[in-house]
Amino acid sequence: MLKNFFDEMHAESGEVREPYETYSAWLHSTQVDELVRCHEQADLIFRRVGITFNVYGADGGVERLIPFDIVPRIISASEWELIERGVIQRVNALNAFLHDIYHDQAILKSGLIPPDLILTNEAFRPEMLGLTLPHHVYSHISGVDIVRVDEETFYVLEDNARTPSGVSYMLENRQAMMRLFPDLFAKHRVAPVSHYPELLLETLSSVAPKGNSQPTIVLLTPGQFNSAYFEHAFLAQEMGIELVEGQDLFVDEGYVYMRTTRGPRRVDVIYRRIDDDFLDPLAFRPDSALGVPGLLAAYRMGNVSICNAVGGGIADDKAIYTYMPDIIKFYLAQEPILKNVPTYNLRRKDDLAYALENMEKLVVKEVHGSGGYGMLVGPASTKKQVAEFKEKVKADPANFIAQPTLSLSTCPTFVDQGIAPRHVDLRPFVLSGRQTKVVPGGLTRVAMEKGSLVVNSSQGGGTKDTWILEGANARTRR
Amino acid sequence: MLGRAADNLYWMARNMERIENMIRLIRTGRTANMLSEAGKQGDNIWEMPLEISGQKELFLKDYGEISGGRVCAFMLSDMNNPVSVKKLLSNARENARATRHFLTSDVWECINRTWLAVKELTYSDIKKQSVDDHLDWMVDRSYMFKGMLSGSMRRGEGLQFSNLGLCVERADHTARLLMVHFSNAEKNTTQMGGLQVRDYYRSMVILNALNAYKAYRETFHSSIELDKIAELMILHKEVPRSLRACVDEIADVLRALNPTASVMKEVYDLQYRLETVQIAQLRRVGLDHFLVDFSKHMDEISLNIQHDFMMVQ
Repeated sequence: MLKNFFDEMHAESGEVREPYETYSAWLHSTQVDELVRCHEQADLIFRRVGITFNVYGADGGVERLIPFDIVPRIISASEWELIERGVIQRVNALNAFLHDIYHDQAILKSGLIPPDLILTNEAFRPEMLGLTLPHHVYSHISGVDIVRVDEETFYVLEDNARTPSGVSYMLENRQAMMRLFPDLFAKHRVAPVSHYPELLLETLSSVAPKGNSQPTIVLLTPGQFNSAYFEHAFLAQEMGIELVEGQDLFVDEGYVYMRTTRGPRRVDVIYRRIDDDFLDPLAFRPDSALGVPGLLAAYRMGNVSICNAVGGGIADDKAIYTYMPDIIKFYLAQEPILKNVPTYNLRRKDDLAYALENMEKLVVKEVHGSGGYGMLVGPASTKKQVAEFKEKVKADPANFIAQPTLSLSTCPTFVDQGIAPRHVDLRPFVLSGRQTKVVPGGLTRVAMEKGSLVVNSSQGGGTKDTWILEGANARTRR
Repeated sequence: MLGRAADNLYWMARNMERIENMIRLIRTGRTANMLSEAGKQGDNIWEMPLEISGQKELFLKDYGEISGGRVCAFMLSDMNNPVSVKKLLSNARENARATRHFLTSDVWECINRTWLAVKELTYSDIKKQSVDDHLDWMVDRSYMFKGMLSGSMRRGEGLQFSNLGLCVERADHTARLLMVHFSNAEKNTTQMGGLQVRDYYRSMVILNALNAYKAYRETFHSSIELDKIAELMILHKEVPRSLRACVDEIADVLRALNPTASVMKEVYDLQYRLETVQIAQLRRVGLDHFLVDFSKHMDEISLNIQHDFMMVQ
């Protein structure tokens, strides 16, 4: 791990990179005491507002704060322009792919993707075959995880097309930063992000069944013990829609209703934050108490829209990921703007052999895993851990993919020792309805431990505010 | 609004109101204990909070003998006591958290900050800081909560269900307090009207716990008499914690919510009774009897409210 990492603030020569020029000058002129004070104040703000995260595990979970770092991650207008085009392209391709998979399956017929990879995949939902969705959109909200390795190169790590979370942190981090450092915002032209809920509401409305222009929209949460409950409540409040649990909804004669103080009320669009498996005990897991019996039937009748669509998980499957460049070319006839991380698909013999031989250099992930669970970071693991993981892989190779350990860029971060570089990634949130849009910003996650490459909040990762600097022509573009 | 959300707001408010009631009771108990030797004689002033909260048995099991310090510890910060202030606050906060998208950030943060301040506090921490300061602070927080509720929330169902919780809980508490007080008083005093010194202090306790001492003086300009306390706290609509005032408020809030006829009838019946009855009549029926009956009606109303608006199947 002695190689050099690309740092967002300092170029290799040691000079400050352009997007950070103003910030760096400010940082140098600021006393450490002042930073400590702001850091503590940020903590206080997050606690009072109750921006907490429930950690799975012992006695039903504990509320914790996600570490918030007061040093922003700054991205220039031109860098953002690339990212924006790249993620929109990707999400458009994903939606075209999903529509095809659940209709003509042209991509399977063309031989580009082996049919069994799709048809026997757990995330594939035969119930969705032939069902045509408004604007042919399946992934209405996507969180595309991007890492940077050098000045020019951004890799897409994952396309989260199920129920990506974290957008509330993008918004609350900005709120906190504006309160803590008003003078910095006067010195920078940071693109605003606070209209995200507005765009989300517009997106959800635009996919209402049968073109209903005044739809009733709800947010379906598993409840207040879910790890992302804060975000669910936050978004419901910001959009002014009801926050419902499965028990608040019922299906009657093919329509979905919620139980209100004034009797049943029709629901047209469900922004669900629970997984497919739990949506409808009649159609999926019969033991699920979170869902709504009969929901899938109503959905299939076209009487309610579910966002993200059922069955979209097939698109962010880690095995499908390896085919993304082909998918983009196949549907859009374009070259991918953002690169895929070179990925070894362990269902292939050669790849498996290579991975087993080089596992200590690789990151190995379970195809269906998420949240940093069920993965091995070779260089950060002991010999014993590597050997154990090899056995797991051998037992079921098709369940794993492997990637070279990426040299994730670092960003200056406020830690106990002062300011030090820590590894970061970036998750912009892409909204697709009538149109595909991205708010200029995203969630920057940061590995708070020195040298660590795992940024997931479930594994102790923190977050930063992400600043997209507006270019000279920003006003006309917006 | 969602039935489940209405239910949470209703219970958030009931829990918050119950906290204030408990705090007042403890605060009065502490004052009475200091004030007068006479007040301490006979039955213990500290039994009252235990009886009113219905947790005497649990207390005796966990703590043994009754003493001021032990009752305070039990009522303030014992998480095993289902109605300790800390437990109620934790419940109120969970209710608020479940519906925080309905609350203004003022209201939510008020509850959340109170909880954060109390969450780790043990009774010995409270003692170190001064118990009285803590009690005063809690009452302030309660007023702040109510002020923010009425000052910042939109005049809609969210506020109405919260208000309903406040007045239902208040009515319930006043009725319980009077029940405990009068059943004890009637056991001990044969002659009503002429008060013994001990009874005087006990009566002060009840007026203070109901925040009605000043109202008593202003209304009667006379010495403290049990009958008059009963009259004041049952029939006088201008005293905020009287049964009559609470029922009037319940009727007002409910009317705005368009309930079914059966709930409304229940409330109107009760209101009519409180408007027309005289204290002497209540005396004849027996205050005890009347109060038990009142509590039954309130339970019925509360059930009906939940049935009408909040049914979660």
